[in-house]
Amino acid sequence: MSVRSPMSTQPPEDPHNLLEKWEIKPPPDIHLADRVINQIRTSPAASPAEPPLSSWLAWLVKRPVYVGGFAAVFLVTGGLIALMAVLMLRESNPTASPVEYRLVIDPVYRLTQSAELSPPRDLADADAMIEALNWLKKELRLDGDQFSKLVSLHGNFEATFAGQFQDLQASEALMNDFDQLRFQSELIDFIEVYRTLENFKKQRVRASETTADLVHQVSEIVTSEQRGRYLELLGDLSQFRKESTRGAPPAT
Amino acid sequence: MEHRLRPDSEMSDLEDMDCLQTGDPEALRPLIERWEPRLLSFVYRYTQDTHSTRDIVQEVFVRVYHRRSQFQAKHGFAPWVFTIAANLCRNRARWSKRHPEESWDASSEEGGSSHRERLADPHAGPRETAESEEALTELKSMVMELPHDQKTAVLLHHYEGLATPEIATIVGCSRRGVETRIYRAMKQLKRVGQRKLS
Repeated sequence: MSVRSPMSTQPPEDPHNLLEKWEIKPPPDIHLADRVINQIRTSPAASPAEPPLSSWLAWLVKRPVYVGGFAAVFLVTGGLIALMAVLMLRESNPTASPVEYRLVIDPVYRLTQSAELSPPRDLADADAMIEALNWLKKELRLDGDQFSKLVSLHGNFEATFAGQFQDLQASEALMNDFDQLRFQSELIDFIEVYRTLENFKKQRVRASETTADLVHQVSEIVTSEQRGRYLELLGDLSQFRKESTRGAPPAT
Repeated sequence: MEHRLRPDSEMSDLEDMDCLQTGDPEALRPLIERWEPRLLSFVYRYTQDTHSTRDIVQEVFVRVYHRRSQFQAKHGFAPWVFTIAANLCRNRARWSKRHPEESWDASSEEGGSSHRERLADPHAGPRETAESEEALTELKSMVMELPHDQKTAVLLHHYEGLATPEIATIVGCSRRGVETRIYRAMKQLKRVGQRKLS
């Protein structure tokens, strides 16, 4: 065999010959069988030569911002998918009506209607929103995109409506307490009564404005034809408010 | 070529795999005894790293045990075990590429002597003379640079004596594809020495 120096002009050596010269005589590993069997017996699922999952987890641990981001995205996406799935399941048989829808989007109306029951109870339970939106979808013939937007929109308002309803309930309970006290004692803090009534009125106005805001945003999502039908279903908003305030106690 | 498949060896492999199906890892001992040299030879030439070679060969046998139910006697033991080995080699190569700071070679070089050299030829001397060593070193370097499929095909063909259909099973291509890969690899290896000349 001839091996070239860097300046040699001889032709390159046949790679087959070179491969033949690449000899390996590894000494036998007398403990290999013991190690293999021991590894199998101690950790059946171990895979030290290929640790993609562990490396991926380590990568995530080093980046907590990504972990938080991923978790948030999964939660939001999962929540929306779950809500849509429930809505689709109930789509075939919507049981809501304009009354149920108003209970959902009008805390003042909800308070009035709930107070008329004996014993008083909240008419708009956790499933009321789903029922009401399915009803709305059917009434307005909403397409998938419109329906998704309305679900998201009503979801954004849901917590606000719940909070306002609770505030109204608390104020109403306080006024009922004053009423009871008025029959039993002449020692009434009328200034406190006045403040409570004023607060109650402000809460009702805020709640009505929130409802009007939602109605306005819904109107922007739907077509003009659907908007007309939507307002028709709701009735005139001013009438809406008037009806909602009918059950309120008179200001003193 | 250093190794050739023998019918009696193949029969022993099948018998040992039958024993392994019972779930007793002790049945691995004869397989390890028979296949360790061939796997060391292939894996070392692929990785050219002692530490990786030891790890991978050990892991190959662990996987042989865990995947014993997937073994199909009609395809033979050699293609199956070399498929496992080749996949582990590729995974290790990818891992090393992504984590160069964890390279075994880097740490070994600090000590002034390479582990690979010790494994490569513990009896180095007359066979690897000074004048041929340079070409051989360049050949090893070029083998390392070959794509996975070409490297696997040429190593299994040249050193392990596997037939084209068996290599096709391991690499996951047609017989013609194996021939093409070997041809391309050899064409690449013919350039040994030419880089310095140029």
